[in-house]
Amino acid sequence: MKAWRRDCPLYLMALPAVLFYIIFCYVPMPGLVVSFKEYIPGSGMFSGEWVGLRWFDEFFRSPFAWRTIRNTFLLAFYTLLFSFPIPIIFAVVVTEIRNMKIRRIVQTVSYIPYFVSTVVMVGMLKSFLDMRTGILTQLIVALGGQPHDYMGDANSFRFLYVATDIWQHFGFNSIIYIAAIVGIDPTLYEASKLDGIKKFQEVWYITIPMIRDTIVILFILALGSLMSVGFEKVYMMYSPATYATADVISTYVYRKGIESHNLGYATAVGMFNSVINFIFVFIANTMCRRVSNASLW
Amino acid sequence: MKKLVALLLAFALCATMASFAMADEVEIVYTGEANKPIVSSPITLKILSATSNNVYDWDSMRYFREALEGTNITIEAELYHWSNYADVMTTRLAAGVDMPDIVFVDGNDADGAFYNAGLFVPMNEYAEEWGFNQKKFLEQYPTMKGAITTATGDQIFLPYVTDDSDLGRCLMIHYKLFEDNGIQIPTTTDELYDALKVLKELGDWNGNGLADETPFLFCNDIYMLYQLGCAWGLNLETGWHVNDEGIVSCDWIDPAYKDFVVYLNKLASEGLMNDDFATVTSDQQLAGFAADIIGATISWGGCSAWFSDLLEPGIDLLSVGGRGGYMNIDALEGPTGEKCFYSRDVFQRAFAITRDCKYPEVAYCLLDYMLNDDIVRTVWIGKENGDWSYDADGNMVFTEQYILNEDNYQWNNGANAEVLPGLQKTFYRAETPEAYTDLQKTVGDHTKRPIGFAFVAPEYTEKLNTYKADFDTYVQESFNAFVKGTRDVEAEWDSYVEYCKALGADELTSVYQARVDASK
Amino acid sequence: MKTFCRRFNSDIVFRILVVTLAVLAFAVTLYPFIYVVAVSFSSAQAGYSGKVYLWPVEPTLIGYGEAFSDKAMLTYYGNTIYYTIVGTAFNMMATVLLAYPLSRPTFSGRKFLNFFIAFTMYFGGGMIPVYLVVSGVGLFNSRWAMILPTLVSTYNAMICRSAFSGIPDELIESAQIDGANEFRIFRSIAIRLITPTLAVLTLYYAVGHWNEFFNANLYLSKAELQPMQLYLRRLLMQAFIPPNKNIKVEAQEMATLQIRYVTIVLTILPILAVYPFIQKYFVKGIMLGAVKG
Repeated sequence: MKAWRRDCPLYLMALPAVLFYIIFCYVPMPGLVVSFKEYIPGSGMFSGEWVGLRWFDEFFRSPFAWRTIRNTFLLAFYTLLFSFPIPIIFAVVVTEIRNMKIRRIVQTVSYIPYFVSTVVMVGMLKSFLDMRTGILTQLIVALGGQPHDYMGDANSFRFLYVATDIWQHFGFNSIIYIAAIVGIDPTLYEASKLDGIKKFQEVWYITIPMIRDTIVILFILALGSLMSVGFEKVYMMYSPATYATADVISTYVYRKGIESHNLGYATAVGMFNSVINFIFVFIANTMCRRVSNASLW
Repeated sequence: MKKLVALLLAFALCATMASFAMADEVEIVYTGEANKPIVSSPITLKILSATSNNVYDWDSMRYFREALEGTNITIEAELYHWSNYADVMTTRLAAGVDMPDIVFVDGNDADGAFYNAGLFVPMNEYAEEWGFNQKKFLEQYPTMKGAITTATGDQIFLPYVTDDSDLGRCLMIHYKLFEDNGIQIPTTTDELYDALKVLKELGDWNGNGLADETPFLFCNDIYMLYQLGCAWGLNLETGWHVNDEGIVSCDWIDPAYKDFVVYLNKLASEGLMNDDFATVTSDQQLAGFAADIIGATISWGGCSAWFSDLLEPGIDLLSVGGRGGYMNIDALEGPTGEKCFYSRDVFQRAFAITRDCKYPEVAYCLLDYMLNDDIVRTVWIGKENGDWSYDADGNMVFTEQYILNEDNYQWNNGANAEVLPGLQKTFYRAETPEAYTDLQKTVGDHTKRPIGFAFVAPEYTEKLNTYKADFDTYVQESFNAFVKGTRDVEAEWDSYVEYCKALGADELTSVYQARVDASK
Repeated sequence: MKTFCRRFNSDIVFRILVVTLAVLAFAVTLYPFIYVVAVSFSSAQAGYSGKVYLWPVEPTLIGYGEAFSDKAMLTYYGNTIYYTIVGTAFNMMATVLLAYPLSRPTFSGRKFLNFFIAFTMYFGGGMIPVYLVVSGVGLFNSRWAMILPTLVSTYNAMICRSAFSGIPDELIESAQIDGANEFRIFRSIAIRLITPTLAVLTLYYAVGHWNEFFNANLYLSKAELQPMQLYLRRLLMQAFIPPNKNIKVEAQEMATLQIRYVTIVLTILPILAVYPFIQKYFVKGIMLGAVKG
């Protein structure tokens, strides 16, 4: 009770956000029960008959369920593996540019791709990779390669997906690290310079540890999306020719739902996704709490 | 807690009932297909609908506004682009709040979920009393009955109809290339193969020093490529077709399908056709026309003018009678003598009246009235004696303003807006080159209608939901592999058919059979 | 001498690496943008036939003309600016006020609240229950629909919280000893020490509002409330449908390719213009760091 009184101002501060979470996140949450129901449109979230695990069963019975789960996981995993560290490296590079003008220009330009809508980005990619007239094909041929249908090749889908993801996000995602690096106490660097420390060591022993908390938090957050892949981008990029590696849970569910508006099925599959993501985060968070003081909760 | 919920429910119920009671009594006079429905006191109807034109301002749509003058009906429209529409419609209907009076149902509510939930008002009574235009449409397109009437006999939709029986998708060839090199215009699939072969041997016909030419180029609008299968008697767009005895069979496991795929594989492996058709976008294809690397393709008949203009900017197709640029040609005869084009389903868009509509009879009359000849024609080709008029020879002469569509003139007026029931049909226009009109006249004779949408009994819907997605995934994937040659269709055929059956080919056939039966 | 050489070499390698990576990043991000701008000003024929590399070919303004032909364009832009400014202000207030208590090690509700907000990142009721709530509290066709349902991004709140955690405990403790209450510590110490992070979050939220499309599509059906993204998106999607109606080809219908690129330019330019002002704070952080030491 004493703690309560002492923390009263703190509770007051958090109040607006907590109200937001209650109204817009927790009040709708019971809607998840439609995963176990035959939902009747227009009759509220609690209408309809219980169907138990029918929608989950339907999903897992499909011969393509495991393929889509695997594809989803692998796409997300590769994205994490490559897309996560690059903004950090880029942030270090940017902050090492001494000329302020150049630094600003490089940084500003770097996040332009973030604003290119997925539709247009994929359109550009396809045009550039066109087997007959694409700029990239011309480049590959000039370098002694053969024209190849990369967009229609299941083997290159993951590469293209991850490469474009890096391109679109590295600049924008680096902003947070740049801010963190800039916030590091410069006297630390000055002291180390006197010790004759090398540049690489400086980055490794000063810069990285100083922004470690930020990295850890963002990494845990990123782990929580290991089972989610942006629907729109895959949907625009894939084709029956690349289903083998490109068909993910969300695109499969979308195709499945074209003939019907089955809310129960969609919610059930979405919940399966969330649970897996949550498990990943939970494990990561527990591990991080052991080794550092940065954690989500 | 329970008490509270009950109290709230009771309150909601009272509120709903009160709102029903408060609805003013209105009388409607609607006496025939050519007459306007007139309401005794002014009312407003809300419409939720989608359009593909970039004009969402209902108030600017003069064609509709003029049609409604004097009816006492005001329309408040919420219009979305079709690509954003499904989210909005599904969410609002599924939530059952903020519902309009009239809704365009994207996806046709195939399994009747919205209808079964009581969201749509049955129209049968109204149709009997006021369905003047509906009756006329059903006489002309009888198969549509199954699409607007549920398995239990309730009519819940009025349609937007697409009639492209006289020129939908067709083959088009690079006219000059064929002409200059003395290549006969193909009439059979074998002749097409020979013609493509000659084109291939021509090599660098655009003379840019690169081997970028493709005799037969398709983009990822896969239905264009499927259209070639018509020569084998297949309608791969639907995946099932019905024979003259009314028996449905699955095209994906038809022996003719194997022959078709073997043919395509031959084209692809000899470099006569692009094998990256799964990924080439319409942009890339347009780029291909502009770079003069495409010998022939299949697309919407009306698009050939666009492609021609990319090939030779400023080309005047009228002055050459359509013999230039990319020229539309007739359907090819297949190995078994089959010769046809498949059109789209006439039933394209469904409009329903929702349970929240206070004046369903007025809404019905409005929807029926929209199918009136004059409105339908005005929306499709402009207003007679305004946008066009007949000259002394009986030809239609259009105003410059309409033809040039300056500042989106057509769209602003509501041309082809698709936001309400209507009809899309080629009306012959003065500026159509004769080669096209000639073709349009002959094409109609061998255009077939696909198996259209129709409501079927719940057990079939169940089958559709269970099997369709997986089946489609497998056959589409296989189609690509067979044509590309990464899988050998000859060697794999039996196991392929077997797997298709395991994925529910026969069950799905029964669904389409049920649709055909429901359309009778 | 030997150590000098090694040090010299390694630092040279480092500089070379930095320069190479910076140039590479600059090139791969700038070129597509140049390409986009060039195509947006080129004729469709030139754009389609792949003649555009760096500079507009057969320059035309037809794409921009099409985009600006809608007189409501200014309204859409105005709405977006409104949602961005007001929305971001609300976002920042709620987020900072939430993140500070969550960062205080002595706060009794800390553990619970952290989990309380983290949980929502993974579990939500889904589109329809949320719609029922938003519509139920009367936000359908209201400007608040663009502000309240996205009031706090948990992701951003986490970042903000860890920035607060980075403040040395001694600073806050000494303030407490001086008799400052939590509000005062928050206002005059904590907030000031995390300016760079606040700048980043402001940018994140602002960009989020700027690009917001989904909620606008769902909740705003009145044209006078809609943001620019909804309009640009329609323009963009419209460009994908080939006209299959008119036999005569119109210049306007040919403009589809440019329109797509015009939409990008129209999205990026305003943000590009505002960015340097935000970026200033990243540089300012250095001084704060010095104070901190």
